[in-house]
Amino acid sequence: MANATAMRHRAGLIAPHPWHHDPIVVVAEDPNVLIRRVQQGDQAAFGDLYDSIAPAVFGAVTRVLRDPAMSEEVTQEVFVELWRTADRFDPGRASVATWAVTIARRRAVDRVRREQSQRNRIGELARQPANEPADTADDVVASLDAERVERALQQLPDEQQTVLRLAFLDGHAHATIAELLDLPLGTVKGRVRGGLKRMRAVMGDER
Amino acid sequence: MNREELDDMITLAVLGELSDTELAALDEALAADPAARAELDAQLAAAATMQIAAAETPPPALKASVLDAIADIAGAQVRPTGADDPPATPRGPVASSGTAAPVVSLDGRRRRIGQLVLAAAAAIVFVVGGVMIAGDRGGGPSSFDAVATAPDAELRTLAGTLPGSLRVIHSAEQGAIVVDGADLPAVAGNETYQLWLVAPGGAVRSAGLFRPAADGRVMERFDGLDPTGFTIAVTLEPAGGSDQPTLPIIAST
Repeated sequence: MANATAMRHRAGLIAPHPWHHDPIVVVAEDPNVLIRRVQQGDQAAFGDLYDSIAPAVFGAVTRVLRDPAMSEEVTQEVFVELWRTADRFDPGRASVATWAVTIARRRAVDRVRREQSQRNRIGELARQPANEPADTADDVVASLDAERVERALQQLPDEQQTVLRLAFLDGHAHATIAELLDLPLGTVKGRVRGGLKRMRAVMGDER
Repeated sequence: MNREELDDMITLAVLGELSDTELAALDEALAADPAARAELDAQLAAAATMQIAAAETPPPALKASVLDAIADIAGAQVRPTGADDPPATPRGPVASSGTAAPVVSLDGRRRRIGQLVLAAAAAIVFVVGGVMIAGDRGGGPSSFDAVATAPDAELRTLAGTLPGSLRVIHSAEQGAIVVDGADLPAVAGNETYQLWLVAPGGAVRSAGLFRPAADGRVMERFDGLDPTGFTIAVTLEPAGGSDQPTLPIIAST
């Protein structure tokens, strides 16, 4: 897709950050530990937290928005929100990364609603292949997690796999997916629900 | 809300498509239904696993921009939540403040980042060339030079809301830190800048106090310290310094 290609080119053009000359090697700390310091107002800990979760947040936002500049703005909004609401984070219910990515997707979806009419977006998407596998493989940070997720997705029935890819790897809202696949809204939601349930079972089996 | 409606709401929450009002209604419904709440949390975790696996590295400059925005907020309210927010209640992974977060214009930040880039580049020349810059106060040229030219000398640039440029060079061999600042704001007679070493676990130790000269420059050496692995931070404190940093942190590595 054009946007993904643009992202790759853009990434290649970004000069190495000058602070990379800094000889200190920062080892990423566990975000679930850092959050406790962030909850006390520790900005340095928030910087470390940023290092550990920014790729997940930026990835989630970019997938929905596709526009690099807008994705940067929304990523910043998300981190401001994480800072402001850190003391409401409940570690008993989610990991820090899940919390952050959940807020990231929500804020990105909000931005799409504000910035663009659904009709325009569908018009743009209609020019793209509807249900090809996610084209983000070259963009993603290579990781064992990505392989594990891909293996799990491939074990799902095609109809669930397609909807999950469109929702969470391509960043589409359920109404857009319904339009693209010519399905009722309720069917899309059912497939998201069923697909996530099956993902949990498959990934649980792998452990 | 019947079962089907609740299932729909949960799925829309996972998709990030509920409004603040709808989220509040869902939170209320889930408070009385632990099984449904567990279902939401499980779906969120599964969806997040996919999204986390497809992470993308953000542009490097974004971090400074985010930390600047946080520092601005912290400077205004010290604590992460505003005084006008409702009492803090753990609300789980979906909930948020619902209020629009103030976001600092990226354009301004980009300009500032450009200045920091220049400052950092200048600092690298300073160390690589082993050039001596005579200090205005404290130490003495040879004592600064000993740190800057030590075989294990390390340079770190501090960034934050503090205007001007600030960097430190430290050497474990010398057991010393040299603070090198330019264009720093003057402090009032009853105030001082204080340098802190923050351990990865959060323990904080004062490294010393410094005040810029009339021209905004600082060059000071602090001995008996090895900040390797520590975050270095600066706060504004009452004259004489404090035992613990007074937030906000105005610059840090």
